[in-house]
Amino acid sequence: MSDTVDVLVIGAGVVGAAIARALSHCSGTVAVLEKEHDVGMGASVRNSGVIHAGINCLPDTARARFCMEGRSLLQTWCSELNVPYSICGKLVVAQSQEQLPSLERLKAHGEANGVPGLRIVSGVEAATLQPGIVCNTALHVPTSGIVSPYALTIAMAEDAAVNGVRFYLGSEVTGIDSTDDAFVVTTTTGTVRARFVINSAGAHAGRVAAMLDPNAPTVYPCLGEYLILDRQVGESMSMMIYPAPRASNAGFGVHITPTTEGNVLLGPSREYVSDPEASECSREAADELLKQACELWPDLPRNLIIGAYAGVRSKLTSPDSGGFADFLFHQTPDQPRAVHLLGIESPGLTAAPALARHVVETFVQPALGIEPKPPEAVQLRRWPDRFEELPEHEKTRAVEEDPDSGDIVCRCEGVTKRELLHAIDNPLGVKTLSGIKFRSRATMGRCSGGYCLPRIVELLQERGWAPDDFLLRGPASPAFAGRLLKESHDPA
Amino acid sequence: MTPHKRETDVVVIGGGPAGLAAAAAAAEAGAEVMLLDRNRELGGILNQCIHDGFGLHAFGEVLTGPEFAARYVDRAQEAGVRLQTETLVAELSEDHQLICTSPGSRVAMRGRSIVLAMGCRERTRGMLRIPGTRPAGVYTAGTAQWLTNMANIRVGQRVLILGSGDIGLIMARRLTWEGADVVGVVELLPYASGLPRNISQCLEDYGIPLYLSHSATHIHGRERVEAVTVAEFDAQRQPIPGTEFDIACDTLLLSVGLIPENELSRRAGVRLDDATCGAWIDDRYMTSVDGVFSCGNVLHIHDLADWAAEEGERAGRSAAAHAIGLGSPRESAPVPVDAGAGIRYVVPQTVARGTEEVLVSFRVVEPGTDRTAQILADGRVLAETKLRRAHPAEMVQIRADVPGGLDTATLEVRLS
Repeated sequence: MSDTVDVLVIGAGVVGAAIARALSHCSGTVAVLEKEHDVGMGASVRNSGVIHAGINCLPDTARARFCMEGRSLLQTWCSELNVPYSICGKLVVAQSQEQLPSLERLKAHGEANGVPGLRIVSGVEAATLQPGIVCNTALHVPTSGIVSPYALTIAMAEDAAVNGVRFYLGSEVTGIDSTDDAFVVTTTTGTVRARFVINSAGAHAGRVAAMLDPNAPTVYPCLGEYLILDRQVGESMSMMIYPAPRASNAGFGVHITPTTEGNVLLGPSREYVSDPEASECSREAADELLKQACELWPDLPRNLIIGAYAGVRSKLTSPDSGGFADFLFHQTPDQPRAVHLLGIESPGLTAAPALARHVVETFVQPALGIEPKPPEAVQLRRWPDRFEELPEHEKTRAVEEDPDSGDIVCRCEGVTKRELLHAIDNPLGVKTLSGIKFRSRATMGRCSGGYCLPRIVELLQERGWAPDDFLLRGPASPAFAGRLLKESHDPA
Repeated sequence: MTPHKRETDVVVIGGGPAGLAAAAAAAEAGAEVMLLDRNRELGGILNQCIHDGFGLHAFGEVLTGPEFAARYVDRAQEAGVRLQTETLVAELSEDHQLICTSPGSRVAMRGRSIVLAMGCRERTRGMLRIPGTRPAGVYTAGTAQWLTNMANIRVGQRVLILGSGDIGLIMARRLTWEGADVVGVVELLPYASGLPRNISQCLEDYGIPLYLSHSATHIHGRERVEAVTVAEFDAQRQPIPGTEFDIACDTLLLSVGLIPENELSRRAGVRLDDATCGAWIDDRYMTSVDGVFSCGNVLHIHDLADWAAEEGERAGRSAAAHAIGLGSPRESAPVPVDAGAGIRYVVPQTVARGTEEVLVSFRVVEPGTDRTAQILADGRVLAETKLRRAHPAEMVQIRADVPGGLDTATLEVRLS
């Protein structure tokens, strides 16, 4: 690979994908480098999927500003891209009167940030808002919401791709040289020359920044583990349940969050780790998640856990200091055409579109003189409608129009063959089982692919895939070990 | 646009051994029967069970899974059952309305009787919460069986099997035949979960080690499975510190239990039993919803397909009788059947008063030798059977004749 572009984005998580989309609406050529074989494979698919209201960001910080701007822009982008989201609201619950001041502090911060509708409610009223929870008092946050974080990341990246952004997946940055007029970025698959470099490498952003600035701040990975509950549980959840934070600059701790697909998440745990790639789940963390979640919701059905995952937050605060640092747009005077986004932890998902707009308008456009494209020059790639979510009469019509809509491949998540084919033929050219999973939800349900993996394999074999073509996340994670019989018939 | 409506006497959901037998028996009893199955081929999981051992009880022959299924498909066809494949039942309501989706069509239909025969699914890694990474190479045993037998795909070279359920045992032998190195079977309990004949024929004959009272405590390997940490577990099912050891492998198969697939039943309002995870039924196999019947692995997990099919026949006959107006009305106060000492569960959960024959299926809690299983009516022994070897892996049935008809307050099955 060898390319020359105006702007290069390093890292295709939710922030990088949002930046790619914002840049794709401007003149100028854009490339995105991603070391994984799909976008959003780090923290972007391993988080709570929450649209934050803005109550837990200290006023007058970049976190507060981009949370507030982002939550509005995020909803606009979700509507444009057809990405599922819901403003379902949140209850921050106090188990005793002693925790009331922490609710009042959140309310004050929220009001200073311009969050509307905040109300402290009694335990009785809280239990009517979300049956099943037991608490003394709660802060009701009606403007909190949920979004499918992987749908958002993929949809933004695919939309950017159809608008001309070139994605180089499986390309890890190994070095950056700065010349008079450009950066020369070497990767494991080739070289890209770019006039402007944006580093949105998440947990790796500190390491990438250090390639240009040896004094760049350190980014500390902090692992968070989640448990996923069956959609059966989601039927009885109308809003998120958060515990009152214990300290003034602390995160919320373990919360119970419905997802846009109807599952329920418990998490996250919190453990600083040395490895930015860490994704291991532990028995201890899972037990602790369950214990804390049961304090919020005593009747939590433990037997309906269907999965777990873990991802790393990218923190600028060290394990010793803890708490939150502000979002950082790191630059050095000698390199005005490089900006490093560091410490984009929560509410990074909420803030992503606003961060992207800010980076493009404040840093890139003035430096390169690129202009917004005329609206008619911008295409839109919408996230597909899910058959399962269609109204009844539209389902019948959809099946009659396309027989593949009547072919339910994944029965847990109600995924049709049409949706599966749409996922397989994606504009980023992602050919992994994980990519199919996040684009279609097939294999994501309660049977973890017991029913649909055979159907996916059958479909792909009909399309000429050999066993060695099946990869979980990339070439290093082959799903299978070849054919059983050497002399067997190969459909290709 | 409302889907077209069809009505028939009996709609059977699921075309595995129980559903096929139910459909055939219902049609033979004079009902108009439609069987719906989501797969292209009828037979359910039997189609991937290319090993033999099926049919010993039903036909007195040794058959493979597909051969066994073919017997019932033929019989259902001869009896005039309308067999509809590639049809997934998306919705089922309490008043027997179904919405079925297939490639190119979506139709509503109604059955005067409904037979639930959707079978079961395998427990997954997520449900077990096995700590560690999430690499490629972790499959349930049944999925591995499909990949091996139906898709000619090698799942891995060096395979560890967690759980000693029958599918895992069958796969240990199958993968050994295909040249894979099956490095062991790890079982949390102090005894195997699968049938004794499978322990002997699938593990012992091939020298595959069985680690009892052991389980996996960690999965290693970021991209593909590299090793699994195994530890000894105590009687409280907690790992014993210091007993951990790593087993190098590239594949982990899970054979850790089956779960009746009752999502559709739940939506129709069918009451479920916590012990079986299947429907709560009376002795006609009727669930808590009038005219909705249940049989096979969706009712409770069977050890042999023969028993699932036999159960299907009985449920199919009841469904036909109900549909064509020959069934007796539901009793307001039937006799409850309790699982007593040493018994994990009993099916059916109630028996009609006045019945002259009681047939119960059950599983014992733990292995034992020279035990006696009894059915007691108000404390008096109605029938008993000697179990030279009692094992949780084996389903047991007892039949009791009640001349003059059952007229007691309670029934209890117990082991002594």
